Amino acid sequence: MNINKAKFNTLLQKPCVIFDGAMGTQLQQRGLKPGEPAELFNFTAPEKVAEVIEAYVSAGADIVSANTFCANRYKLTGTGKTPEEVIFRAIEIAKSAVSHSGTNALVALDCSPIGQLLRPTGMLTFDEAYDIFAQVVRAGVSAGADLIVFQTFSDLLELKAAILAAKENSDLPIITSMTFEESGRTFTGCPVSAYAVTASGLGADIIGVNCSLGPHELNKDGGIVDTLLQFSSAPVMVKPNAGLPDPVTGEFKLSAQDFAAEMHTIAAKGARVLGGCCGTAPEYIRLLSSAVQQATSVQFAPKADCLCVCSGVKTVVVDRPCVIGERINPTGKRLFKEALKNADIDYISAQALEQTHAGADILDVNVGLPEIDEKQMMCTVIERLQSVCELPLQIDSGDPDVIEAALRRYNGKPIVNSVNGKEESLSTILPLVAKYGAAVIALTLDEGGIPSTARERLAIARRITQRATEAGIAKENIIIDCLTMTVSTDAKAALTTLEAVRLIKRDLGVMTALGVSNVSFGLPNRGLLNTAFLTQALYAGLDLPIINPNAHGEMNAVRAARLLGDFDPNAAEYIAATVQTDTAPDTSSTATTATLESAIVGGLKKDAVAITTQLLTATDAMTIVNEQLIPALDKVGADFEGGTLFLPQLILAAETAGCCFDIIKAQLGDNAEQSNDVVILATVQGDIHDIGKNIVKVLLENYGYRIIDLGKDVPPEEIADAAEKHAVKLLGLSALMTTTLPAMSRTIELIRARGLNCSVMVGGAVLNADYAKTIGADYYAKDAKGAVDITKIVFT
Amino acid sequence: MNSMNSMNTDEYQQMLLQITPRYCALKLCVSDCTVALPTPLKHVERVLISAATLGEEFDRLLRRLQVTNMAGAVILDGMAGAYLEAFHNERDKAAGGQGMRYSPGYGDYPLHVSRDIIAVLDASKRIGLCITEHDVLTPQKSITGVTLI
Repeated sequence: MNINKAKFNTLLQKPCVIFDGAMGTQLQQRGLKPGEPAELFNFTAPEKVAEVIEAYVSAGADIVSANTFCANRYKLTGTGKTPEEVIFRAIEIAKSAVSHSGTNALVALDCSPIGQLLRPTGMLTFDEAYDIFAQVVRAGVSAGADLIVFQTFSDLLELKAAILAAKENSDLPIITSMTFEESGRTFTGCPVSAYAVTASGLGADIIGVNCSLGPHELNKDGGIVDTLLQFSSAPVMVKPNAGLPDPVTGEFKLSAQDFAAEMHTIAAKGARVLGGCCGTAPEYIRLLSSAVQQATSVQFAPKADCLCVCSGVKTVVVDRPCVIGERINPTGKRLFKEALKNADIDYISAQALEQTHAGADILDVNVGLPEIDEKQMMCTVIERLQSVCELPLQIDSGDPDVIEAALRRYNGKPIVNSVNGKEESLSTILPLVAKYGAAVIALTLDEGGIPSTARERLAIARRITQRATEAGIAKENIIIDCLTMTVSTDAKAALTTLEAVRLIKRDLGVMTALGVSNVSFGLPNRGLLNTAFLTQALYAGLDLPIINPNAHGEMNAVRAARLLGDFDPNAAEYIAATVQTDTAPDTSSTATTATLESAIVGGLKKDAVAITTQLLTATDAMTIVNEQLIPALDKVGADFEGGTLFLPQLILAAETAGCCFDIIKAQLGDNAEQSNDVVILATVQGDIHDIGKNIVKVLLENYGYRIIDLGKDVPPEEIADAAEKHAVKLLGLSALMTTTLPAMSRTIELIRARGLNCSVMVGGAVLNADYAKTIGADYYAKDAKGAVDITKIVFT
Repeated sequence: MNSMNSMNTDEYQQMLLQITPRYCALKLCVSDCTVALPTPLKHVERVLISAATLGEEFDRLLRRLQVTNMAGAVILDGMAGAYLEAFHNERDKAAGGQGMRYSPGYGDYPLHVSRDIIAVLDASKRIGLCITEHDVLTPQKSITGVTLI
């Protein structure tokens, strides 16, 4: 064990460890102006910084922060200082102050969030964030920090980048601290439980909360401190503000005595590291220190060991049967394969949301297809799914590289699907699971294949569990899947699996998962068999069924099992699911709609589809398209331009027409070629507003064009590469801000420079026809409908 | 035309009301103010610097709706802008602001002043409001501004 870890562990033998109080507000009292970076005081007024640190040490602080809170390269822009300069100086001052005080207080490298939001809400990528933190960590190590503390974080993924940067660039102990609103969530919607579960898995040495709230607000029954204690597997730190600020003056009003009194209660609950944040002063720490020494020293009690997984916004505690949705998987799904090949991520997002609506608790994500770059697709899909869907995800791949890339960038704690009993699998997958703090599904097969008896599957399960434990994976994170074979070829298949589940629950006491649909392969009425088997498996001890949540029989079996197993108080969920009304907008008409045109103009999707189907029995498909669908769309377009119809209605009409086109395409079957009229759309580099582009995409798709959507903040090179690769005739660029128009101009220059034979249309609130001409665009689209008209012109 | 005319905005209103906007402000004497002032306020004595946002929660909601219901997303987007403006106006008034709020990016008030407003308010810590290198406010539905007080 290294020196720093040893020193830190020695310190943790104390029942309560005292951290310092506010630095910023203390420096402001000594002349720091609002908006002025505190870190510059390390150079302009080092004696004041030393004064504050010494005061905290004298007040009893065991750990003090160096004045490095905002010393990352983004926040230091314009100050003329590098992170290395600031950190080196700050730690020097802190260490000298500590030695001057004659104590053994530890000096922490204090690190704030970067100050930029991560994608997709902002522009910072995970890798950029990691890089910024890695620079700070390396500087802290060189300067001789005793430990690292990440404080006041709101974004769990950003914190993950920070923790990994610390783990991969130093051996120093790591304290993490997030800041929460009274709702118990951060600004990004992260609940305390998700934070605690994720930080525990990543190996933070201390898991804490600081800032935003006072001790009273943090300490409510069942509130933030309680939840942190419940879900953390490391000791907990609490560092509140001196109460809430006065709404008028901004002053912190809680007295040092009241602060200390409340902290005494918090220490008594089991928090091990205590300090103060904004508004606190050395006096607060002095009183805190004496108050908590008198608290009954509570030995750190490990939380209840239950499998918990989470996304960045939702925690799932698997203390009852939880459904893993299996639909995001290309196997046997033609449309899904098409979507993957076309990088149609919206299709996958829609699948995810549909499963969520149907009641899935966790979603399996498999994008393995030989024709695509699985690693890149998995990372893109995970990021996009986590941006629209709240559920925890299960990373499903046979390729350890893919698994690792996904694990690294996943926000929260995921499940890895899967490891198995083969030596190669155990030695490559288990270390990844341990490093990133995930849970893992283990298949009971090995070099000998899938054993035919339950006892043999138990033996493999036992072996995998042993290896996983040795690799540092907690028992509750191991999920055994004893594999389901089909009864059509082996009459004992179901019995074997059920027996294996029972044995594993009885002898190993670990979690179990199972995909059930295999059981009925090759037989008719599969739904019935799947449901019956699932029901039996649930009673044998299945925790995590992997099913299609849209399959009513199976989903209902889960709900019934929950109710009958006393996991559904007052049968509330069961009843709600039974009477659930469709919350989608009612798109059926009350009166009979005579024509296809009126259905489209009225946005009546069900009617339009019914009428189209009816028409196809008597009329040729292309006649319907040319004589009814397109004129209807033209009418809607004309009404929009005339101002009697508005954008949402235009979109709805286009989507309705789109439904009709889908019916027609299905009817044409193999004869329906994918449209050759391809348009590339992108929001330019530096711009992240994309709803305008997305509206154009929806309209154009529903008018029958094929869209390649490159997304937002797209560099000119990437757009030009795509235009060249797909040899498109039309490219649409959007920008919202005057500051990103230059990127639009550069993109067009690049297209022309490469001699690409493609027209460019541009749009966005900040553009006009004149500017469009100046930058060399061929067309200016004043609104979404304008874009459609231009597209029609280009493709005739 | 039932469906078109009765596009139910109640649903979107409900979604918006689930979101609590965040606000932070600072009252400053112009002599202490490091933020460049808009032309109409260049000769006043005291100003209210403020910022408000619907937060990441709104961004997430809008992204989700664009997948399942694009028409609804357009409606929600429009309503959200109005909701935030109304909220910000109310809070500025309660803080003593008088008359119009001037936001960077409008008229001749340069966009980059938002950067200074965010720094002076410490908005990224207080309400989770940040700004990109191209002066784009993040989260999306956010406002910064200066008002006479």
